[in-house]
Amino acid sequence: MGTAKRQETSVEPTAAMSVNRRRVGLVASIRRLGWLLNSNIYYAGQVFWFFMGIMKRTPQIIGRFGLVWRQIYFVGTLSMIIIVVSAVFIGLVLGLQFYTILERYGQAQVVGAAAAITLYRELGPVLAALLFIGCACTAMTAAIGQKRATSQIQAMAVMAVDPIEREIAPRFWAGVISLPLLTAILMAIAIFGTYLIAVVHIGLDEGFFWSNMLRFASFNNDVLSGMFKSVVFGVATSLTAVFQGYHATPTAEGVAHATTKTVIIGSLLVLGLDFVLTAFLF
Amino acid sequence: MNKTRDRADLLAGLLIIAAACSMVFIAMRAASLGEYDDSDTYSVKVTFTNIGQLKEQSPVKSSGIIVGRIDSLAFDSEEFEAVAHLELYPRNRFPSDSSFSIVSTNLLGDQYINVEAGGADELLEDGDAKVGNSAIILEELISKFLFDKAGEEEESLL
Repeated sequence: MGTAKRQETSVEPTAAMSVNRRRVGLVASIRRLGWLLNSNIYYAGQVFWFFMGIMKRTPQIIGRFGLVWRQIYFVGTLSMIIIVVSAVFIGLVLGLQFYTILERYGQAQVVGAAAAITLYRELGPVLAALLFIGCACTAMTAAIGQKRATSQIQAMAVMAVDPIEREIAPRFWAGVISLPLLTAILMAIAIFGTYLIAVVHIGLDEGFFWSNMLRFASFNNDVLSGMFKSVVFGVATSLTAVFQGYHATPTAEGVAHATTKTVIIGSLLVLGLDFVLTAFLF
Repeated sequence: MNKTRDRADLLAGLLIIAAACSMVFIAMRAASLGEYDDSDTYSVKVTFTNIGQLKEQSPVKSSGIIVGRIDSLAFDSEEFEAVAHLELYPRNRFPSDSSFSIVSTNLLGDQYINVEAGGADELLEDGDAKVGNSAIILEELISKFLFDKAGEEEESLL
């Protein structure tokens, strides 16, 4: 690449030159392509072995569940407020939107059912995961990255304390446990929000609202597959968060960069996985 | 330090309780758990020449009350008929000469199987086979009506 540029500026291009240059450019771009592939495979392998490292320490983690429990507080309980408030608004908007659409077809009584199915299957797991990334995963990355930047992780290793067992695995498992719990809360509160707008505000019949929901939304198909999605999202987002934190460049800027990467990679993973899971589940 | 730890543990427990409450609420009020146990139902095989828009898991109703579900739909390639396997709830027993027909909730709505109770003393048993009245196909009705009309006009011309 560098040689090609130098030639361009210093020598008048002739026909033979340009062929030569093109060949250099071609080789360079093939090389770049190969490098891209290799580095991505290397990256995937790194993530995989990191994940296996966490899995290997799972028995120890079950033995010291207090660590996970404390992280559930930081990761889960502290995200609860944003989840609850967002859920109310999600429910309100869903109810209002479905009402304006379904009203045109004279089917306003199924507003609750439509909102419930959308929430259980898609919106609940995905929105909970996105909020979770913004609220909890960034905190996880920053906390671990900060420990990396201030050499606390190396200090632990020096003291023969396994940093993955002490810092990474509890956070990972707390994330995996918390996200489905938060998803369940989001679903229930959002249903309540839909109830507020559809029954209390618009004045649809309460009986129709609940009975249609019972009729159309099935627990085994809709709710449980939504919960399965959120478990998968929990693994993906928590793994992204702890991986980015653990491999952050040990500077303040590096931690900031790692946090941004967590949000970008986590969100894209959630949306991509959602499509794949929907294609397989339904 | 210990106090804040206790508080954290307590609030983590709170999250789990809140999630459990949410799941219970969803299971009770906002999504239907399986309504019946498969082992408790009795099955009846009903054959139709045309099942229309009938779907698996569609309800079987009598006088508008759900008395069972369609377990499976299949095509009998020897008799060239559609076979519906119904799972009926044991609390509703029907006379053995009850008739099964496919009806619609409304013009565009879903179809279901309606059971009209007969007068026989014997009851339908598990594994019984019945012949049902097929779905009314709107297109067939219209074409029948048109052909009848055309026939009448031809007669009047002659």
